[in-house]
This record gives sequence, structure tokens and C-alpha cells, in this order.
Amino acid sequence: MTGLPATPAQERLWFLHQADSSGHSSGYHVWGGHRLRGPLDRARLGEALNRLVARHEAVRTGLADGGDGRPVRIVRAGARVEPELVEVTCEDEARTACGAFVARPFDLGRPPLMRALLVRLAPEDHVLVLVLHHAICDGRALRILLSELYGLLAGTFEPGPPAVPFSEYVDRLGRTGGARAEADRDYWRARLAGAPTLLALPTDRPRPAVPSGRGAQHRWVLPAHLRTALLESARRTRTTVFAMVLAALGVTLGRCAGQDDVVVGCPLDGRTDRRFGQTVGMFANTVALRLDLGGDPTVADLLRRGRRTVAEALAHGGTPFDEVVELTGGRRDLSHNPLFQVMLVMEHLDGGPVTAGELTVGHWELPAPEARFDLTLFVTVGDEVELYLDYAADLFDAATAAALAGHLTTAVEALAGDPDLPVSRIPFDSGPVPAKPSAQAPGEWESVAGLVLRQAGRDPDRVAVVAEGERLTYGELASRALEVAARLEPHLAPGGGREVVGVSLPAGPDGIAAVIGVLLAGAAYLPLDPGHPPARADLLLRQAGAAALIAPPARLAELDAFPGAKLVPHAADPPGGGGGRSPRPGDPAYVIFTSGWTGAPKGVVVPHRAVAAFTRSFVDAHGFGPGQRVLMLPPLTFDASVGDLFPVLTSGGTLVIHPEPARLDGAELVRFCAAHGVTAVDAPVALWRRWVADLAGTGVPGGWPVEIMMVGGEEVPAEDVRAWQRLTGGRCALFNHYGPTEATVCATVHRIGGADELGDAARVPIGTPLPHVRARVLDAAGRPVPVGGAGELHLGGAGLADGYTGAPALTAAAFVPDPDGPAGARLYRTGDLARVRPGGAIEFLGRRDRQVKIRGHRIEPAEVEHAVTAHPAVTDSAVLVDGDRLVAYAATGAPDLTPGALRAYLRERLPGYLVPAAFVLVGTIPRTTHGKVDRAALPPPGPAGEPPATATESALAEVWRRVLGVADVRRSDNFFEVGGHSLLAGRVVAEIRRALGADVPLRAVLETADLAELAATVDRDAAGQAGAGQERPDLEAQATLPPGFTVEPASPVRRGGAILMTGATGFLGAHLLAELLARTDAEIVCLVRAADEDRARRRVLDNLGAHGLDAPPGRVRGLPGDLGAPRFGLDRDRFAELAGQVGVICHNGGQVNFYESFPRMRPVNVGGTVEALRLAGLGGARLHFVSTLGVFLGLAHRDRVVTEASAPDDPAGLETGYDQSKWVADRLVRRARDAGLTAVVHRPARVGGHSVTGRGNAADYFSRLLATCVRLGLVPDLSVEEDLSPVDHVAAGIAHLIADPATAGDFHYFNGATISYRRIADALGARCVPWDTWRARAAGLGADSPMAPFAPVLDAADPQFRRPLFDCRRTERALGRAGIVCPPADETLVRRYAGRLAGAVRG
Amino acid sequence: MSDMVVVVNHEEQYSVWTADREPPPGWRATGFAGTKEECLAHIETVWTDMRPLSARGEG
Repeated sequence: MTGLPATPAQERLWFLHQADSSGHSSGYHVWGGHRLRGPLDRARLGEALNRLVARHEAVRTGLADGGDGRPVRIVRAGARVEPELVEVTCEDEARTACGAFVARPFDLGRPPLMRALLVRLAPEDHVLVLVLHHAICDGRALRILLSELYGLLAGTFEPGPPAVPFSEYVDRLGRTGGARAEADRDYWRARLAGAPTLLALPTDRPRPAVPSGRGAQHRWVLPAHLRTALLESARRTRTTVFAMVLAALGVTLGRCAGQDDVVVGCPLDGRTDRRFGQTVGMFANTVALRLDLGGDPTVADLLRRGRRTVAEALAHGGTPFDEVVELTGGRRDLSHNPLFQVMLVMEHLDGGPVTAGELTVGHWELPAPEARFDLTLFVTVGDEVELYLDYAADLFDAATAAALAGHLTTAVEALAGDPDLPVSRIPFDSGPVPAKPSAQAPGEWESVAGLVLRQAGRDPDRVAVVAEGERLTYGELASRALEVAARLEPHLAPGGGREVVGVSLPAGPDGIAAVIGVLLAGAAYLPLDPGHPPARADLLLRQAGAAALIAPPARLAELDAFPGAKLVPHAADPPGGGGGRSPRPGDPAYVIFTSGWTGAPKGVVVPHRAVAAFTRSFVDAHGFGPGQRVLMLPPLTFDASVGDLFPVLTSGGTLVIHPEPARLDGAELVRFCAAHGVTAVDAPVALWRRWVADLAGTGVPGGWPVEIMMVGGEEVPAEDVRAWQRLTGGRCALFNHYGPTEATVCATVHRIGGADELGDAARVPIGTPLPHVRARVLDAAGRPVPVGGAGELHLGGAGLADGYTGAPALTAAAFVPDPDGPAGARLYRTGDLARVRPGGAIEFLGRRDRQVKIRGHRIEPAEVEHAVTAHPAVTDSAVLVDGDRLVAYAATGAPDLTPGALRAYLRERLPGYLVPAAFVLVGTIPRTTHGKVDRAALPPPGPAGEPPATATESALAEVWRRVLGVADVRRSDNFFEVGGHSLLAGRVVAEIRRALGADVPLRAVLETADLAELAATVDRDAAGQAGAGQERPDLEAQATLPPGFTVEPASPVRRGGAILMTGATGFLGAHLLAELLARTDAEIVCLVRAADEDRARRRVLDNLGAHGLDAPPGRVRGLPGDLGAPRFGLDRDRFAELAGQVGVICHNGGQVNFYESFPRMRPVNVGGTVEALRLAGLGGARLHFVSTLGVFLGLAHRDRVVTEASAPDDPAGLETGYDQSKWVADRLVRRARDAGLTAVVHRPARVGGHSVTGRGNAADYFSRLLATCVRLGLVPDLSVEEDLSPVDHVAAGIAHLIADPATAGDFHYFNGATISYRRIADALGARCVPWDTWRARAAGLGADSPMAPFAPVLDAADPQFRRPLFDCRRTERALGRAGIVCPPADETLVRRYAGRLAGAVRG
Repeated sequence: MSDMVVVVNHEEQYSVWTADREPPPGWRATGFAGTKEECLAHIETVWTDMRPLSARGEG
């Protein structure tokens, strides 16, 4: 085989295959198949398939590394395809088998890249599936193959000479070029200049760093009249159906994303020459269709634009997509497809074959392909117009996809209709439009202050306010308020001047009475912070034009300059009479100053109408009334206080005031609310989050009286809501309140009741509007945004403020005409980005003025801050824009946190374009009094880049300079950003190999953040630290059940059935065998490597003897076999026979070695488990799998609590090949369990020696460490606490659980009673010395050292033993009931071990 | 670039609106047009009593 040139498309697919972490993605597989009913001749099928292989060169073709980082085509003569046969008993099994088959990876270097599966459901009922790699096949090619195959089977097709080979197409591609190709390139360069990099369609979940490829599909059919209208309109306007659908898709996406520039991709068939009409191969190219939606075109205009876009793309379709990507700046980010994220595919149905001789070819539902794009719209036009929207399940929910589908139908209908309609008028569903509020009937009007008096009249003795050392009844409150009103009246203009009265009092009985008194006097109150400097209070009083001020005498003295009337809260001699004037709905009730985003204070004037409407809605929403006791925390200067005062006091409830809100931590909250019978709490989000953190461990006590927790003021993180539900047992409903002061306290409410109402939602909605509120999400042009799309939230209705006092321009800019509300109505522009979810709840997406655009990506810094703060060592963060880069400031108290570690953490969690370019660690984030980041007080970020610092960095920089043709390379330069792209990455790898002799995986070049990180990877490789394990295997892809894996229907438990045990010749194995012998009376078949049964049994018994154990005669049977071989090395019959004999499989065997790479560990640790699963599936045996708690050592569980209910589903960060291989095995067992297998997973931690005899595994790490300590008389002073579970305990536990057929689930064996190194030193009578001293001394022992096999540990300057917090109570309880209790790891145990070991090592 | 107009509603509350579209019902253009900044500056001078019309009456 010699290498032939590959096409650009093949190069790209080869590159993607290499770049995929596993090389195992099925994302670029092409498959098809049918259900075949009737007599099927397998031999004939095989023969027909191989005639196709012979006929089509492409099927015999593969791609291999040409040595320069680019692939070459290799054609393998005599390649054959043998159809695989799987027998199943039902359709579900057939689907499972098909699913596994299409996902199984190809090795691109080993053609044929086609395989066939025949699933036999019944003798005359099969499913046939063909799978090919996209590198040699496209959709048309697959149809050619299937149609020829069925023709051959039917005898209706007799292939003549081989089809025109794909090579001819490649040759032709090579010949074209020159001027034409250059013109095409010029076209694309100009056409796509400045195009948006990422469509800003809001997603349901944050975009992951690397897409998982999980996809789902929404299918719908256009109503018949729309099909007719679409086809007719295409004819009438002389455009194509494709261009019409493109225009519909473009306008839908544009409106949802708030863009008038949208790029969509579409496949193009390169078989422009008829000669290739029947040639199999990869002819498809992809073109980017950029649609301009600007200037509000009419339908006719838009269709013209669509038609021209398509025609031009076809005319210039010869440029390979990859080249187009590079022409336009290259791919910068692996988190999304370059240039476009939405694909449009149109097919015209040709019916397809229905018979193949005696076979009926019918439909069979094959798995949906992996989601390669965010969205793919397939349109098939036949008797019906059928549409399929494939969506990336990483990003979208089914409901959102369905909403998009609905919008598309709306767009199609509009585009097939009136050609003069401006596209802005397309009637997209923008969610429930709130009813226009009915006008208040005259005569019914009562102000909130009047309603409080009414409550006082009804029940004067009910308690209205409880504060420290003081209780105020409604009667007392009313008389104090009336008294304030009476004293005020003389100072107000007669006849109702609507004056403003300042109130500088804390939220307490005096302050509340003063507020109500001001309202009763017909004036508006202006709350002033009693702690603020007098100058500020003075400014606000003047700005609001206040006529009077109520404050304690000392404060009045400070504000001496105030020209208006000055009143103290209590008069020495209250005047009689008065009674106030009833405020009218339009009169202002209060003026509250907000800082605004610009920092200048703005006084929001809120009329009585708004307060009354809000109060009514709020009371109804929360069920306020007599008996409710609400803890009020906000000061009067925050409008949140309005949300407590009036709803509670107009409904007869009680306000409870905490003397010192700042002191209110979780414990105090629990105590205070219990002591005062508080039923509802209103708190800012930040404080509530502190309570969640404080109470996470303890929860709230049963019978705690709080039923309602109301939070607001900022975004509520979903994880905190889940924590809250957990810690309150779902007994305390959480209300998320949203509302700016301009819309009176609260405009929307989202209630989360029961324990799991939030589901897996990534965001907590701000909810639905209160009844008096109109909420509209509008785009920049003021048009309603379709459901699911992003826009600015606008609020209207009765809750609207009048405006900003003394600021007409500000008011006019913020309060705008409501385009479709009641006549003359206004809407307040909140500046908040939001979307309406399908179902009507509104989601907050960020602040409009914080959104920035960097290199074509719209970025919300808050989203990045969220991810930075999620790091366990980070307490606060701020993300700012510096030029065209993001800079993250992280507040941390952890001295060992480095910018590099933080960046690595974010790179695993965020798409590349959101990972900041620079990190600055600070002690705290400086904030203003309003909680906003004080930018000026932050240190400046470092310079844009430092020159290469190490020899490796310099060498790499030289490689980059040479390959990428750039003059200057800095440490912090990113490969993509200095002009790198896919094909160049291959050349960089080749150059690194040449220049540095290091074998760096392609992925390392693509995924490392910068030159420095790549250099570190090269250095690690050179140090051989991870060797072959350097390339991180895609563990998730490895954890796929074998095709055809099925579980026999649950058979009745076979009592007396034999137990098959693997790993009986190990240390834990010996004790486990002994315990199984003691706790069951089953025969135990031990699978061991040996020449024959007798020798196998001998090995097992010898091992028992070596551990001081023995076996009763006749109970142990040896079974010679090999864990790493298919079917354990048994022949098919023997394997099937074994499956029938065993009732329980105890799979304990594996390879233990902490320095081997994953590939070396995989055959035994993963392969052996697969065989154990196969065996269990075949015979219906119960499987007990001995895994390891090491599967939880990944990043996802670090510093978190792990219980038996925790699922180790994320392997990221597992470091040893052992933990990685055990993780895959563990995952497989749990997958099989999900598929119906009875399986129990046991996960031990560090297994120590026998608790009584001290006899241990002298070869293991801890034994060797202990032996070294004894030898040196020194113990390293490590901070980790060692856990040791004695082997007899672990073995007894597992055996006990195996003996009980009802055992189910997972069991963990971590001994919580750990021991520190200092205590180990005490136990040994040894000295505790720093690690550096100890490791030097240990290394000094040379080859003779017990630590020699673990020498690399001694190289570590600071050995880290990071593990989760294991909570094994479930296991402890289960074993405790049987009297199996783990002894603590204490001094006695250590001495016992050391005594044994010293003997063993010396002897 | 004069792409905005000053509008006023029945409560004599001012705001701005795009010049290329009719104001919504209940709003009328005052005749002033200009950039958004010019419109807002104009409003700053003409909107002297910010109370809604219905709330201005005595008693």
C-alpha cells in the first residue's frame, strides 16, 4: 500500500478523528439500514457485500499519517467485510445492538472503513445495518451502496466493471485550481468578513468546554395548506424551496438571537460531473450561507436575498470548507463549530427500495446521529414536508426545540404569504401577553396607609411589629402614625401639596410609624440611611425637594442646614385631631434613591397606585394574613422594605425585626426564627446564600416554623436552591423575587416548592409576572422576541413608577412607549437581558450593559465570574475586559492556588472563548457600598505576554515561528490566536518530534491554552512521568457495553448455585475467599491462570496458606483461564456452560500497579470486567464487583462528600492508569445494571493488614512506607490522615453482602477513624521529620529500600493526597447489623502492622 | 442623523420613539426630531412638571 493524496475534506475528517480525545467518536460515522422480512441467505448477503467492496475503491480506502502531520489515502486490495450476526429476542435488544454497532469506532488506518451488522429477530426477520466512516462516504454514497446491495440480493443488479474510482475525483480536484480557485477564495474572504463567530441563540444550559455530541430530535410535519403555499410561492417568486426555508430559518434564528446577520451551513454534493453519479466516496463539501436580515426587509426582499445567497454559494462551492474557515481567521475554539452552528439539510424523497427479491425492505429506526452542530434542520419534501430539528442536548431542552420548530412554521407561513409584509411583523409567538389591567373602579380606592388603619380598627390588640424589647399592636401603631400625621400637617402646603418628607430612622417601630404617618398626611416619604454622612442626606433631601424631616434629635442637629421643618419621632405633647388627607392613586407614596449603574443617585418616585397594586398582588402570591410572622431585614432605604411593610401590615400579619441583621448567620437564623415563631423570611440573595452554606451540614430542625423564604436582589444559583431544598427537606418554599425599584419592589415571582421541583435546570427563573405587571421581552428595535429568544426585559402595568425626581431626560430614556399596551402606556427598560421560556416563566440572562463582544463572541462576564467563584478556593471574583481580552480577578485565601491551576480548572468547564486570558489573584475583590466592583481599586493585569522562559518554551516558540510564520511568539500565546489551524497542528507535532524528540499528541497542541502550557506537556512527556498514559484516554468512550450485550430475564435466584470468583490469588482475594467459604455453603470456582484445573486449585490453596488461611476440602474448584482474554480464554461451550452453573460472580480480580498507563491496565481491568458482565448477562447470575474508591479521585468529587449514593460519572482528573481502568470497569458494571443486570459494586479504600494478626500485604505502598519508617526510625510529617481498613473487615463485609441475595446498590469501605502521621510516629516510637528530610533519608537507603518500587513518590516535592470526604454510613449500617464493625486505624493497629512487617522485611 | 422623535402621552409624560414608525396609540409626536441625545436634551427643557397630568389637580 502506498500513500495517495487525500482530499481536503478527508484531511479535515482525519484531523477531527485525531483531535478527538479518544479517537473513538462516532460523530463522523454514516449509517443506514432496514428491517428485512423474509428468507435471508447469509452467505449470499456476505457475497453481495464483498462484491460492493470490490466494485467501489472508496470502501477499500483508509487514511494514514503521511509523516508530515497530514494524512494520505491508502487503498487496500482484497479488503473484505464480514457481516456480524447478533441474535436477539425482541426489538429493544435489536435497537441496543444497533446502537452499540454504529457507535463502535473505526481505525482509519485499517480499511475497509465499512462494516455490516445483521440482527436476527426471528428466522425470517432481520435488521441490516451498514456503517461507514464519513471519510469515504457521504449520504448519497450510502444510498448507492444500499440500493446496489438490495439489487444484488434480488438479482436485479449485475455490476459491470468497477464504478469510476474515487481516485479520479481526487486527481480532478488536484488539476482544477489556479485562477478559478483563487477567485472562489476571494469570494469567501469578502463574503464572510466580519461575520459573527457564534450565533447568540440563548441556550438552556451553559455551553460545555467540549461538546459531548449527545443529540435529540424534534420532528414535525407542515400542515398540508402550508406545503401547498410553500411550493406555490417558490414557483411564483421563482425561488427554490431551499432558499425559502433558508430565509425562514435565518429570520427565526435572527429574531431569537437578536442578530440581523446570521450564518447557516449546508452540505453540497461535489458530484458535479455525471461520471461520478454512481461513485461511492466523500464528495460532500460544506458551505456557509450568510444571510443579511438588516434594514427590516419585506418578505419579497428577504426571499431575493436568500436566493442570491444560495446561488453565490453554489457558484463558489469548490473551496473546501476548511480552507474557508482558515481564510476567515481560522478555528479558535473547540466548543463550537467554526463559522456556523446551525446546519440546513434538504432532501427530496425518492421513495427508496421496497423489496429485494423475496425480502421486504422495511423501515427500521436507527439511532440519531451525534449532534455535530448546535442545531441541524433536515427538511424532506415529498407528499408531505417533513422537518426534523436535531439539537445538541448539551445546550437545549426538548421544549425549547419544540418552540423553535413552532417559530419556523410561523416564519414559513409568513414567507409563503404577503410578499410586502416587513419581516419585523412576522407574528412569532412571544409568550403569554399579560391581559391589559382593568382600571380601578372609583370609590373602591384605599391607600395602603388607610388599609393599615382599617386593620387597626378591626383588631387593635393584634401585634403589628415585634422588635428588640418592644411590641407594637395595630392600635398603638395607628395612633402613633396618626400622631405623626397630625404634627406634620401644619408644615405641608394646605390643600395637598404632595410634599416629600425625609425619614432618617432605622426599620423599627418608630420608623414604621413615621412612614405610615407621612402617608396618612398625604405626603411621600423619602427614606434616608441614618448612618450616612449628613452631606449625602442633605443632597438627597434637596434633590427630592423635601418639605420636612423626621429624625432623632441628634440627627436633626447634624442636618441643621436643612431648611424645612424638623420633627422628632415622638412629640412630648402630641397634638390632637388631624386624621390626614386620603392620598389619591396618582399621588407619590415614596421616593427611593438607587445608585444606578452610572453611580449618580436617582430618586425613583413611586405613586400610591403602584404601591397598592403591588401590595395586593404580593399578599395574594404569598398568602399573607393574620398569623403570618414575617422577618424583615432590609432597611427602609431599600425598596425591599416596602415589600415587607405594606403586604404584612395591610393583611393583619406581624413584622418581626432582628436587632442586628448583619449578625444573622445560619445558626442565628434558625434560633431566632424558632424563638419568634417566624413563618416567612425576606432576605437578599447574598445573605440567603450564606445561610445555605452555614446550614449545609446540619439542615434545619424538624418543626422549624419558617414556611416561606423570599429572596431577591441578584441571581439565584441553581445549586444553592437544590442545597436549600435538601437542608429544609423541601418544607420551606423558596420564592425568587425580581423587580427594579422603577417597577415597585417586585415584578415577577418564581416559587420553588417541593424538594425536587427545580429538576436539572441550570438556571432558576425569575418567574412569571405578578397580576398587576406587564412583562415583555423586546429586541433592540422594540419588537417582541419569540419565546426562547433573548432580549431586554421591559416592565409595565400598574406597578410602574412615575420616573426619576427632577430628571426628565433620564426618565424619558428609561420609560418608553409600550408598543402594544393600553393607550398611552409606558414600559420601563430594565437593562436586564431575559428570555421567556416555553411555558411562560422568564429567565434572567445578564445585564445588557455588561455584555461585551470579543472576537465575534458575545460574552457575559457574569457567566465567567460564576465559574471562577465555583472553584473551591475562590471566594469572590470579578471578570473585566481589557482591550480584546478577558481578565479574571479571583479572591482567595488559599496560598497554594495558582493562576495556572485556576485556568486549568476553567478550561475543563467553560468553552474556550470564555476562558480569561489573564488571571490575577487577590485577597478580596474591592467593592463599593452598593456591592459593585470597584474597578479603580483593582491591580492592573500583567503585560500582554512574556517571552519564552525555558529551553523547551524557546524551542517550541521556534517551531511555531517556523510553521505558523509569525515573527514573535510569547509564553501566553494561544496556538489558534497566532494563526494556527487544524492542518498546521499536525505539522507542529511533527516538528516537535524532530526538534525535541518528544511525542506530543495532536490534542495537546489544540487544547493547551498557550505556549507555556504546551511546553509543560512536552516536559512532562520528556520526564516520562506518564509515558504512554500521557495522552488522556477518553474513558467515557471506553465505558461502552459490547454490542449485543443483553441480560437474561431475571431468573429465580439459584440457591446452591456455584460462586465464580476472580482474583482469588491476591491479598484481598485470599481473605475474601476464606470469608465466602465461611459465610456460604456454595462451591467456589476460582478463575486463575494455570495449566489445568488441578494446578489452578493448587495456586488458590497455596495463596490461602500464605496468608495464614485455609479451606475446607471439596469446596474450592480451580478454573484455568485468563481475565484479559475473550471469554476468559474459555471456548464458547465452556463459557456458556459456566454461565449456567454460577449463581453469583464475585469479580475481584484485576491488575494492581500504580505506575502503569491506562492502555496497559485496560485488557485485564476493563476486558476482564466486560467478560464478567457477559457471563452474568448470559446466565442471569448476580454480579458483585470489587471496584475501588479511587474512582472518586477525579475533579468532580474533590473536596465534596461522597456517599454510596454518589455516582462516579465524571472521570476527569483521574491520574493513574489503575484508577482510570477501574473507573471504566465500574462505569460498565453500572451501565449493565441500568440495562437490567443484578449487580452490586463494592469500593474499598486502602486495605490494610489483618486486624488481629497484623499480617498484611508486604508489597503494597503503605506497608513499604511503614517498613521504611521502622528502618529509619523516622516518620514523614505529612498532613494527610491515613485510613486503613483491615483486610479481614473488608473481606467479611463483602462476603456477608454476597451471601445475602437481597443486597443491592453500592458499598464503600473507607475507615472514617483515620490516623495522622504524628500518631503513627508516636505508635512506632519514631521521630516525625519534614517530608524533605524523610524522603532524602529514604532515598539514601538505595535499591535496598523497601520504598524502591515506589521511588517516584519520593521525587514529589509536596505529595498531594486529595480525596473526597467519604461518608460510608450506609455500608456501616448494613454491616453493623451483622456485627461487622471496622476497628479504628489507631496506634495499636499500626504497631501490630509494623511488628509484622519488620519481621517480614528482615526475614 | 435624526432618527428619533419626541413623543408625549395623555398624562403629559415624555419619551422618545423611532422616527420611521407611527407612535403607539395614546402617544403623539410633539414635532421635535433628532438624535436620541438631542431628543432627550429637548425633553429636559420642556418637561417641567413631571407629575402625571391626572395627579396634578388640587385636592
